[in-house]
Amino acid sequence: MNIRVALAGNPNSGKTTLFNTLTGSNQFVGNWPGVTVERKTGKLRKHDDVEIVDLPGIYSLSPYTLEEVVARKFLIDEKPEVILNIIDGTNIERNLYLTTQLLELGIPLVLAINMADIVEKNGDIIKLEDLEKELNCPIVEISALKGSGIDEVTNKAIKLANLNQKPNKIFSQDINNILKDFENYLTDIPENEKYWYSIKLFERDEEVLKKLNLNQNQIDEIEEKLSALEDEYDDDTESIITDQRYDFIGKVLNNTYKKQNKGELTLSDKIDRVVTNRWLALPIFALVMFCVYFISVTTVGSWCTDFVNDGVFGDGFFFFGTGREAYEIALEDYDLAQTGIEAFDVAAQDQGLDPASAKTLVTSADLYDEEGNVEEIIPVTYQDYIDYLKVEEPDPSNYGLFIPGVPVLLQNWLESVHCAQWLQSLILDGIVAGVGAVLGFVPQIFVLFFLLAFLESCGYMARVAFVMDRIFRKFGLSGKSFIPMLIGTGCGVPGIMASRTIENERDRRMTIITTTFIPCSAKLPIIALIAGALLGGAWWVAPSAYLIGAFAIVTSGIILKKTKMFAGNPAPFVMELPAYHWPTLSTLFHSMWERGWSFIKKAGTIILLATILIWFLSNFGFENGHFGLVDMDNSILAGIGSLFSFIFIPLGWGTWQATVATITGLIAKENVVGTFGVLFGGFDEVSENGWQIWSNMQAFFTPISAFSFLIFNLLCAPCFAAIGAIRREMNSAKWTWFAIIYQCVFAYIISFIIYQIGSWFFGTGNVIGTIVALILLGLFVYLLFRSESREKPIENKIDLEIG
Amino acid sequence: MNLSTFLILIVLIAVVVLIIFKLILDKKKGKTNCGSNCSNCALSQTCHKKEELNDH
Repeated sequence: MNIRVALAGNPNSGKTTLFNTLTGSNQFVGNWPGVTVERKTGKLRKHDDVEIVDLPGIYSLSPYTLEEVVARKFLIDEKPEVILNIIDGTNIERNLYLTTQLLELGIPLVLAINMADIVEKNGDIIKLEDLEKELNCPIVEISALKGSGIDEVTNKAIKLANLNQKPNKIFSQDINNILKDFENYLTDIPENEKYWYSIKLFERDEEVLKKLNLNQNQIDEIEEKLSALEDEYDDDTESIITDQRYDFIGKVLNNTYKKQNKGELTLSDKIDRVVTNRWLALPIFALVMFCVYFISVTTVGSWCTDFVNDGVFGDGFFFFGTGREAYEIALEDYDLAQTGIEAFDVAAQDQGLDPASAKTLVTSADLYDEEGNVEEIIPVTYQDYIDYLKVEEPDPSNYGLFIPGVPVLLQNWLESVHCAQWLQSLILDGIVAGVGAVLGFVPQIFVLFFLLAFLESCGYMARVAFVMDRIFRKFGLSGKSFIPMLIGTGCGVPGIMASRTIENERDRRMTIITTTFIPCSAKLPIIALIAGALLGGAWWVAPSAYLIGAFAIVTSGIILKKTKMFAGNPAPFVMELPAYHWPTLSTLFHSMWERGWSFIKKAGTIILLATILIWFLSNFGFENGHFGLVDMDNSILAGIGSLFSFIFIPLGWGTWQATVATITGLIAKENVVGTFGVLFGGFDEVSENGWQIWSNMQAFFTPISAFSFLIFNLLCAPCFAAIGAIRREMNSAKWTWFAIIYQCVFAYIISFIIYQIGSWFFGTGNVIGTIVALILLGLFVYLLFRSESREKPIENKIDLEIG
Repeated sequence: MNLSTFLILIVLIAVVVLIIFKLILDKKKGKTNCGSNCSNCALSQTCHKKEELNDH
């Protein structure tokens, strides 16, 4: 017979970590509340007949939030055979509040006190046997993270399944009498569930009242009894129940729990005093995010990416670097010789001489640095020319164990089997160039995910949500909107989905519209490409992309909140801050791998198909009335791009190549880079700032137009998968179109302003464009600072009783 | 077209067909093509299950 074990507990008490340990699955674990919104199921390891159900974290069984509704519906309607209630041992008093409610359900319950290792470290003492007697349920101390106590707790849960469980009655006698009375109305309810239903009647739970379908007389009788009791207690029934629960918990803990450092600040509290400080919180967060992007894009990630681009998807690499230095010196000599030969040939040709006999000719050759600037001018005599001719191109395999790159190996193989030239072009210039361009950024993606996983696991991101609530609230958004944005740094789709936890429809819509402004992992290659290849590897580009995303969210929040459609107070946001802890390396690597692997899989599927299509469209077309292989400028793709490219001329990148890259980005954002890889053939190291790449690209972009291109692609409509998510969550075609149009128009205006005004710094300013940009900037500022919509906002009124 | 070109082309077409087939299969199973797979999602495939139900 199948046993269903429901994992229930407060948010961030470790349910999903325990679920992963029990089932061996890889569900996302985040050290902030609200990671699990819907329930998840999995089989217990080595027990095919035991199903574990991970419920969203809840504080009570009231039907006020989506998480509570999901959890309560499962516990009441589907009746699991046993509940495994996981509680945070470092915060036992508040966690037991839910336990008292779960014990009233009439379902067998095992209590797992999680973070037992931290409890022990803090010197706190929990008298397990006494607590078991008081709560009338088995208790096990566990550490879900370290895996201790897991077998014991599961064995106890399996043993307890299906046994009869009498509800715990913890209330005062007068209330228990009323509850007993109420049980008389519950003729259709099974005996062991009557107690819970009677409490819900006592609390005037609307969902339960609706479900029980009582007649008016019964409702009146109940109401009469409750009103009398409320007069007696001078409080509402829900508060009376809450008070008595906490009274019970207080009494139980007095006898069973001893906290070592009562009232003293913990290490987490001390850290929080700094990182959530009113003035320091935001600069610290900006600094942290700057470091994350600086490390992942500009430094460590960039070194790794250069290796992948130069080595794996370039000419090749030396095994462990042995021999590379000597090879590079030889290569420099060869390059110098080639430059000298070229200069001497040109000079001889200019004077109508044969270079082989121009013994008196002396000329000079320009040597360039990495950015294409002339670094040195050297004289070249006839004797130098003769010497240069003797310099042979160095063979890397003579200098050490040289492993050729994928394109080299493939090209050699294709040539050896006499593959047709057009197919070689498709494979090398299309697939390898396109997919390789995207895969080249995998190291940066992995470093970014590792750092984000660390921030999430250690507990810092929960603090950021808290800090952001304070700031978002000023701009009309709730702190609840930050969680979707946090998830959106990985991918916009789950980010948009996570907005479901926001009850207020206006806030939810606004969060959906703004979530994808935060750069997702797929946009990272665009950032890295522009930063590396077009902006000289500038350190500020990657962090600025993140900050511009945040700027877009905040300004959109202000602008939209001032319209009638979104007016109203943001929803309240309640969350607790988990204690800081060092995450295990395995957790970090696991999280990094899970997300990074998805990126790689996408490159091998959608991106690969897209590069084939782009190669085909960019190489075929009509020329002289015939369809066939044509010059790229006459291709179908050039035709399509040229149709729309005029739109982007005011943004500084109205070329068909950039237009096509933007359009293909709608399939998947990585396609922007993949498309560049295909269109600018011969790119074997798109993220490196070599001067040859720079000179290739500068025909299409200036630094300011490159930045404008980056901003537009970061802020415009997301990929189709995310648009689909927007459609599902908005549940309205009208609102989906509104979101897409708003994002595109917003992106266009910001890019336009940046390009037109920024062009003056490069001496290419346009008067009319600048005037329009200034008008738009003025309009933008007006929308930010104008007074609120005249429509009276929806307010959450709280009636206060004094006395 | 020589034999090697023909064979390489066949392999390439097979790869493309397999990818398309896999994408369709994933869509039917409710898997998404987003950058983070469903196990990284707060809603763990529930959204796609719903979509699948709507499709039928």
